[in-house]
Amino acid sequence: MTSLLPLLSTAQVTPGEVEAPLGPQVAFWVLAALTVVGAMLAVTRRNLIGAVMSLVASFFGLAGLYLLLSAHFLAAIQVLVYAGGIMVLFVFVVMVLNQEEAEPWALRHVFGLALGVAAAVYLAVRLGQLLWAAGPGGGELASRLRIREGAPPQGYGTVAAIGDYFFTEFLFPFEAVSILLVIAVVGAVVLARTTVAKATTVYELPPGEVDLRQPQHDARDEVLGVLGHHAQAANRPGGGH
Amino acid sequence: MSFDLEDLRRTAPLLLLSAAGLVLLLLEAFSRVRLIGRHYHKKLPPETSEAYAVPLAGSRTYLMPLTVLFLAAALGLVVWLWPEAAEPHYLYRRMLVLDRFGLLLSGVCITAAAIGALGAPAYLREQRMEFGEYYALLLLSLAGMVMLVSAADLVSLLLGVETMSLGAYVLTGSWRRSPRSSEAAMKYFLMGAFVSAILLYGIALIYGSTGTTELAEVRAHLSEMRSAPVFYLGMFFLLAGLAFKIAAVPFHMWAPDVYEGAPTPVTGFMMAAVKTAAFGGLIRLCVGGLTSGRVPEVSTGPTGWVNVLFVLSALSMTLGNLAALRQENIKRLLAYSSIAHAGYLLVGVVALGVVGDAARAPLIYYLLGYAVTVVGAMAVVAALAMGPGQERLPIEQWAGLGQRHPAMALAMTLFLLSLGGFPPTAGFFGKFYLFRAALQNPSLLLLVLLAIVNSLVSVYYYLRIVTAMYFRTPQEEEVEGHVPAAQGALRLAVLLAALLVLGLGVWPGWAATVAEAAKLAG
Amino acid sequence: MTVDYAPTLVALLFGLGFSCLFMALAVLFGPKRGGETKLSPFECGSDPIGSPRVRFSVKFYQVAILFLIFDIEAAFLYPWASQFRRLSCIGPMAGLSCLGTVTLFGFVEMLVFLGTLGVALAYVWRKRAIGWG
Repeated sequence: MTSLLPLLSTAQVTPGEVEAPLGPQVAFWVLAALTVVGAMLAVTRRNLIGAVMSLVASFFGLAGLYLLLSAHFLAAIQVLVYAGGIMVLFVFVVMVLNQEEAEPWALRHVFGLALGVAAAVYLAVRLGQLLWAAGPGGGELASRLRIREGAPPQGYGTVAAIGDYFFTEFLFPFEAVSILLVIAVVGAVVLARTTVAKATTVYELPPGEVDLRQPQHDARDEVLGVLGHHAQAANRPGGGH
Repeated sequence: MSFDLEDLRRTAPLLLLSAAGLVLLLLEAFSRVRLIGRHYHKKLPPETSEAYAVPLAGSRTYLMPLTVLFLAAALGLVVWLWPEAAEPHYLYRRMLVLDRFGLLLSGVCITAAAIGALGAPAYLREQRMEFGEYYALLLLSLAGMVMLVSAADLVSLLLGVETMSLGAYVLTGSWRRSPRSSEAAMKYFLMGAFVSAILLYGIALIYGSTGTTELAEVRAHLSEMRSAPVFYLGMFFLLAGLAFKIAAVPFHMWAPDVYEGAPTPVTGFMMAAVKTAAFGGLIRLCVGGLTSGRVPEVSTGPTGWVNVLFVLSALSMTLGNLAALRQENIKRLLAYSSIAHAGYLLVGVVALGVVGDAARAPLIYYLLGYAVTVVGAMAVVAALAMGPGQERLPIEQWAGLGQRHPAMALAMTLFLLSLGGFPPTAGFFGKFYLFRAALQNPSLLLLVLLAIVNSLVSVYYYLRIVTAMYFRTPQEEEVEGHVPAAQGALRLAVLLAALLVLGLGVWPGWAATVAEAAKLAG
Repeated sequence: MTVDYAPTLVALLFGLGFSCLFMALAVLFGPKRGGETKLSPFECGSDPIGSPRVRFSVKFYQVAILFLIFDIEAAFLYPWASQFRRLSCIGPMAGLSCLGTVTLFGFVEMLVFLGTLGVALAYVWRKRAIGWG
């Protein structure tokens, strides 16, 4: 693992020598641990607020890693948007959506669980092979990763450099993002709208009619489904808001 | 800084769709609201009218014709650019490419969306869920599809996928009163977001190993990637992400629930346009970025993408068909059928890797035929809804429709025959053309045989609906006093789709010629 | 270089140190007269103790998303502003002044972006999504 260090820190590396200076090394390990442990706590904690706070820690760790890579602007945005805005959103999601304790539906089926574990093991093995194959000094891997050796060019990762990319090379994606953001805005308004369906509106069906909004199929069509197809909300009568 | 104004002209359909989406959004927000709810309450039987007296969102009746007009204009621009696109033009610093392949697939998506949009207002009104943003979202999502099918760079590919999907998530969940719709949107969005992360991870790995995100450049670097694990991992992630979007097994789990829960016109839009665009992106990635004559192992080697898609194709058509056999709900049935069709279409993509360019035209033809067929089928389902919250979904409710709604039953029969691959429909010639192209290489014989067996199996469940419509008597009477939603525009949508399905099947020559001319850049 | 972050680290340590110091001082020297009323929240949100699974209005969520989207929009403005002169100039530059032709390119590209999001803002405004009304 140490062999990857020169690839990940910005320290000056000459082709023959692979050891990075101590400062960035320590910083890298501390930040990496913060990121990984934070992310792990975020998915394992039962207390949702605790999980969200662990995620904040993970985001800060990631921002620190960006700094180590000389991506200053990205680090600032990481803190502003992720640790700031998106976390607020997560806290809301946690509070809005979890009124009742429910089984996580994605893992209700043993098959799905097995598939997930198998995929995770496969990924871990592949990554392990990758690191093993890299050998000391990251040799072959370093050449394959097209790592530019040595210090990054002057002004790399600054706001100006990012601006240069955004507004010339990546002008099209930049403008296209505005369309994406408009859809997100419309989505937020449409899906959170309360005027269409008043919370008190209850469907009354003519006598003898079957309510087609209720589930009519049984588990037979679950041949393939990894997910159960009805969360509890679907079975609540008169729901829909 | 320099900028080529020609680029703007060459992306005219994309710009028009985006601008039209914004214009419709402004119209929705700023023009006067006219509540149209009461008008429809009158038609309901007196004892139920109170219960249905749900406050309606105001909607402007001119939004749909305007949308169709914009779509027709976009289609016109596609035709206008067609001669110029004979030679590929790279646009916006090689982010997009103008070529006939991208133009034709954009045209397919626009046509499917236009047919879907024609039928939407009647259904939305019937289900008491009218909202003007529907059309704006449709157009903006379509802009994402055009981006996706003309992507020359992984960055624009990802942006296209995201723009397209975000619109689809919102449209799926827009039926606010249906718990099914909300649930479907939730599942679609959560899994879609996860898949976006996987796509992004794949792009990062490919960028990490090749040092570029441009598809043509990635291809130029393939010879150094012969055995680079990072590169292959990135490739697998990208394939998995796109396989999710086309609903191929084992990345299909969302499809039945989402296709069932979404409002019916949206289901048609997703089955036709989203699938076509996602296939366009997949073909761009596989052929434009991952196929090189000098480095065959990336495509046809043991861990090449051809083998991956081979397995996905076999799984999708087999499992999709097996599950469809047991469905009692028409939307779920067509959802599983759509998974099976993703499998047939993947035969074409595999053939593109093995046989080469000869499989391109059949694949495009199949996509076109499938898109108009499912859009038509969903329009029929929408037209036969029996009142708010009461769609005609269980197959037993389709009994006796041959007498009661002869025109709709006839159209549905046509669409089902096309899905099953009967002559003289688009589906028959599509399958024949595609399988023939795939058989040019004997190594695909097994896959094609499997596809043929599957097509035969699928005939059973398609014909089950046809038999129900013509040879079974209805179990119970329909809601008294109910006026079917099928109004002018919805009928027109069904008619258009039926004519296209029939036209493509009877005179396949012209479409095949156009598809033949739709060359891929690079 | 990483050494450039030394001041940041120092500032971080000072911040942490001071907040810990004052908390410690408060614990050590502050008067301790607790009671029911002292522990109850006063004009600072809901009761912090109890089930965290309180149902909030979806409006909170909507406002948060809208905030986030326009936050991202603002983030794009920084790099643009820093490159504005470069983007508006065809030809060589001497410092900040353009020696070649001045164009509207830099201006127009941001105008298109902001215009598109302006449409979204107008829509949100008109739909009264940023109020509680």
